Amino acid sequence: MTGIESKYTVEGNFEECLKCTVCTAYCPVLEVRMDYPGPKAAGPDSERYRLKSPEFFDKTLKYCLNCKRCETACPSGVRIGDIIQAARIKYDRQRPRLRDRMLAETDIMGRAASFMAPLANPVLKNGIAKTALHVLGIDRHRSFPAYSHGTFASYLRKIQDCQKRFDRHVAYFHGCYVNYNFPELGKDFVRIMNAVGYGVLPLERQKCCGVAKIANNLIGRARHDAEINLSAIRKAVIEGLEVISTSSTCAFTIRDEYPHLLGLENADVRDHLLLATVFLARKAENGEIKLVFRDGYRKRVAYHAPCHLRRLGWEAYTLSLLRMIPGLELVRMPAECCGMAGTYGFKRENYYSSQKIGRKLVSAIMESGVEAVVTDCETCKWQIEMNTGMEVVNPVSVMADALDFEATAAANENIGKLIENKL
Amino acid sequence: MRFDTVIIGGGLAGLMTGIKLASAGKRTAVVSKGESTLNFCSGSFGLLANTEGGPVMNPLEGIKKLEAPHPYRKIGYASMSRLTEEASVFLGSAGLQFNGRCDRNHFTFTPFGTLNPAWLTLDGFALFDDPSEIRDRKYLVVSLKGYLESYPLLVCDNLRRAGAECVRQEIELDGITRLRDLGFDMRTISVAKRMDRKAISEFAEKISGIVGEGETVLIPAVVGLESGDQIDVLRKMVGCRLFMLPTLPVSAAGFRMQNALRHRFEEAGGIIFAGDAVTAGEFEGSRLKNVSTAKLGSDRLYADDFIIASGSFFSEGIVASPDGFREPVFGLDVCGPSDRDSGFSKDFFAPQPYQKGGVRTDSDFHVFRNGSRVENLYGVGSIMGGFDSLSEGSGAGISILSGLYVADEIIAV
Repeated sequence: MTGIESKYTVEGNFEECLKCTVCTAYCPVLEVRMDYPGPKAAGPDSERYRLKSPEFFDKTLKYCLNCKRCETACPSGVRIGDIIQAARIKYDRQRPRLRDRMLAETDIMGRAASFMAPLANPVLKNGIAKTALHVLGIDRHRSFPAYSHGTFASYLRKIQDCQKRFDRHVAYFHGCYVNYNFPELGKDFVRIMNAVGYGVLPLERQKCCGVAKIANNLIGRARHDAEINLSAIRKAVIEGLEVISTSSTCAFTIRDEYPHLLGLENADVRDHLLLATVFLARKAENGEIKLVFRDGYRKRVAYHAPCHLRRLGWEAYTLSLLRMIPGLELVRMPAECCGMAGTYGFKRENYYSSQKIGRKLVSAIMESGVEAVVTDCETCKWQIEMNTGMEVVNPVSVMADALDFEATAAANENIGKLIENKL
Repeated sequence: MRFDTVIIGGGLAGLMTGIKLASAGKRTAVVSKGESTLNFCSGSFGLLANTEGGPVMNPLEGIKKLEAPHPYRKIGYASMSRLTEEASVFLGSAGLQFNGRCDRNHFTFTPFGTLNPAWLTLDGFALFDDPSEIRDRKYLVVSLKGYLESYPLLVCDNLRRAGAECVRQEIELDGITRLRDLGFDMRTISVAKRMDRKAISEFAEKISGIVGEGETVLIPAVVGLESGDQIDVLRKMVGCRLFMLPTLPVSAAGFRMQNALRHRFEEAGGIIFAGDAVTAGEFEGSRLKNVSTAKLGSDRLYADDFIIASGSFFSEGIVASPDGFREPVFGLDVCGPSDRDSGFSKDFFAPQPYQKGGVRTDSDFHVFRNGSRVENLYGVGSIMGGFDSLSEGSGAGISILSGLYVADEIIAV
């Protein structure tokens, strides 16, 4: 027989664990928390006990960042991180607190705050509000990313007439961050796609990918949103569209966490849900699209590969796309976790662990003498910005900055569309 | 995606080959399905310690006694000595300082205090030209309270048997003992990660307090996880002869080597597909055109040359079943014992014939599929058949040298 049988899909694959313990060497939490048993003990080892009786469930499993570095390290294909998260879902009887709900309900919070952004932003920065949030369990050292006045979704709706005029299209899973906090990233994405000849369409509906709800044990809510997302993605894929995300964590959640943790089958659409850098790198390498860069563009940046991007196996695409930019000097950072892990780092009880985990990455960035940092994940961005004071940008925005849009559109025989649409 | 060379396997063989190719300007990718057995390494590499004719002191001369299909015979005497020099340079460029030479084996301690022959040993571990050197030496074997992976009793026993004087002392370090009380996982890496400046000073102070006149100190290898500097600092503080004793897997030395080589490869421009596995290949005539992986979906990795360095039985580069063994990715031709009965010796400590099982390679390490040579696919390291690395003490040497040799072939074209 030829071909490796995939162990990635076998339920209960904890039995594949050889007890080599190499995962423990790569767990960032184990380095900073003395009360966390580590991936091997918390995952495959304890799974045997938990199968015997739920009372073997250990509350400290909540300290797992869900960075999946243990899975990337495991030579036996054991889904260690999944085993730990699934145990939390199955056995943790502790109800999510108000604080957890506030952090996890990104859609509700985002919609409200974005509606009232001019009011909400100063309030969230205010000392009294921070103290109140601190009491609720959101650490006072953290700041919520500023909310945008008006959502990206409404912008995308507004420009649909001209987007539809392109010959080729993609659907965009913008996620909460682009929608409520940073529409500029979504706009950069649309400009690039338009220049290379693709119109950007919204999904019929979209909700938060659910990563924060999964982390905060709001599984019913997560599954509800996931089903809406999946059915909209499915519809787009049936229409022949690729569905593109600009966040490595959104893409990771929909591709891997939906089937592994929420039990939602996505095999029919999984291959069509791609990160923007993957889509662009593949098309550019095949010669299907052409990218022309600005002559004077010069920048020296650090690149941090998010843990979830590494787990997706896509770091190479982002690197290869960024390496196409002639004026960009890329300094690769060591493969360390930033420590933020979405809502994890916001929680008062995790703040110091989160900061300690991020130490190595932060000092590597500070020593690298770069102008800016590039990473594919918004929560990595918050952590790095807070700790280095440096500008942190998504690879898509780096592309938008470096690209000569007119020349690119011309090279893709697309200049007429751009002028016609006044883009 | 397109590369000049795609290497399957991110262990010692894959990374050393990758470093050489990437340094020569080749666009090189390594696909690694997880951490490799290099993380388990004691701190020493073997070149050749035994042949069927008996122990070997000069590995370069020793290869003449090996049977023809052995990888070292394919590399040949002249290339062997050149490539061993090159190996030290590449290891050094990754920040790994080794001691030793290719024309004379030295001896190093095992985790149990006996001696093993070796070719290269990482800085910080003890080296002897001859086993008799430890006779009449005075040793202080230090253990850490709570640390689970050192064996001071066995070490002392073995040292005394070899004619050394030996005392044993347990040291309690604040930070480490506290971990034990909390029920923490007291394995090598966990302890090594807590050996910060403060812990090292405390360690040095406590060793200084107990070391006697003329004693050589042996500590478990929980120091120097990130760089070799830590052990130098400790030595300076203690001010006496001090060496590390290797520990069981996962080892701090192995973890450091794996990460240093990976970092060097990336620094040279290499791309690593970490936690991904090559699942199949598309062949066109006598060439491998591309490979697919578990994570890349419909995309393929194209390259001019491919190298398979996916390891032996433990790493599943070779998979055994009741009716024989096979190479699972491409179904490459294998050589070695033909059935289960002839694969095993009933004497557990005797060389096991199945160890010689692996992928068949030609004189330039090309592999075969359905009886025909694949022009652009090479086998390097322990996936190859034709040798028993365990009884020969040759595993690391074969991994490094076959890889560097194949890299030469690829660069030359």
